Amino acid sequence: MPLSVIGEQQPKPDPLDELLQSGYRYALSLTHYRADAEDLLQDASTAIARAGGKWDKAYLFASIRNRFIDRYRRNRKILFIPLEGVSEQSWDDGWDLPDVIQGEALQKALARLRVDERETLFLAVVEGFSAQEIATMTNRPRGTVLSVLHRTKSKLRRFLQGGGESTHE
Amino acid sequence: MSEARFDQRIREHYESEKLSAEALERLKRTIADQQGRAESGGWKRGWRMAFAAAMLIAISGSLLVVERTFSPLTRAAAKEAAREHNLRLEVEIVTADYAELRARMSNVGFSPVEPDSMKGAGMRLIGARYGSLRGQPAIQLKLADARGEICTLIQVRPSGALTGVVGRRRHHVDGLVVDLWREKGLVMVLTRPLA
Repeated sequence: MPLSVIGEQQPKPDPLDELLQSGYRYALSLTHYRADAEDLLQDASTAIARAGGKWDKAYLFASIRNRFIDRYRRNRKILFIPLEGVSEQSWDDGWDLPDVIQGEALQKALARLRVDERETLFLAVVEGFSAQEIATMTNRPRGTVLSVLHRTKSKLRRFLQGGGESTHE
Repeated sequence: MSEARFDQRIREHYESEKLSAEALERLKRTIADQQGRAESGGWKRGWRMAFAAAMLIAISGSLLVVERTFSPLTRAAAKEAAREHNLRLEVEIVTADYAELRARMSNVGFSPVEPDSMKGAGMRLIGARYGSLRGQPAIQLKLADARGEICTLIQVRPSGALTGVVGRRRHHVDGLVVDLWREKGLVMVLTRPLA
């Protein structure tokens, strides 16, 4: 009897690898610099290992966030600006962007966002967290999260269209 | 470009960012090393652990009752303390001197104290502010540990829901370690980042 051909199965990815990669990307959304993101992830994950903490995304992200706040607070940098302190700007709802956005242009545009904007964008768009989940993770009202997300997308689009705005960082 | 396509482009951008295989392996080795260190101490003290376990079983009956009764209370207090810590509120009085704090903070019916259990732990007082915990008036002290990490020590009278704080308890909340204990007639709640 001829043997049926069975396709080679892809090796199952290590869950810890995937978790650490997610943590790295989250750290990157906060720091925007690869080396800083790697340091932040290392600090957070070794601390979890020492304390025998849980290896799940919520715990790792919280640990990364707390360390980021501590580190940058010590350096007296402006981190998270309350929504009330930022002038609201709205743009028309057309998405008149080119079909292809170059990586470098996107990278530069992301660098111009504030930390809370980049973080919210990452958690919503990349990680797929709901506004309520992000609100819980970042200790902000859900309405603020939704507003920041909307404003951030508009701002990013404007940057990509070549518009300018002063940055807060 | 549609918004959906725009979101997709942002996803692609971040998903293209990865720790290199080398960095990932290095990090995993560090994690394994840290976990190994945490565990190795236990193996070396095996017989002590066995003895401790026997003692634990002996007293667990009574402790279980206390734990079931009070654990939710201390966890709620720990969560509130962690939230307060994360708010990073400014101190009202900036001082490194407990005597000055005692002289200037007397509006909550008790005076802030330096816990004996923290002396020699390399904790430096930064200042304090008034606050509350579980609805009770409290004093929030900001301290810097030996590594310069900012810690929050809440001191409050053991009344209301806080009557349940007996012995020493530890909770992990959002990547923070929260210790609760009683000392000098007050409930102490220390919140700090993971070591």
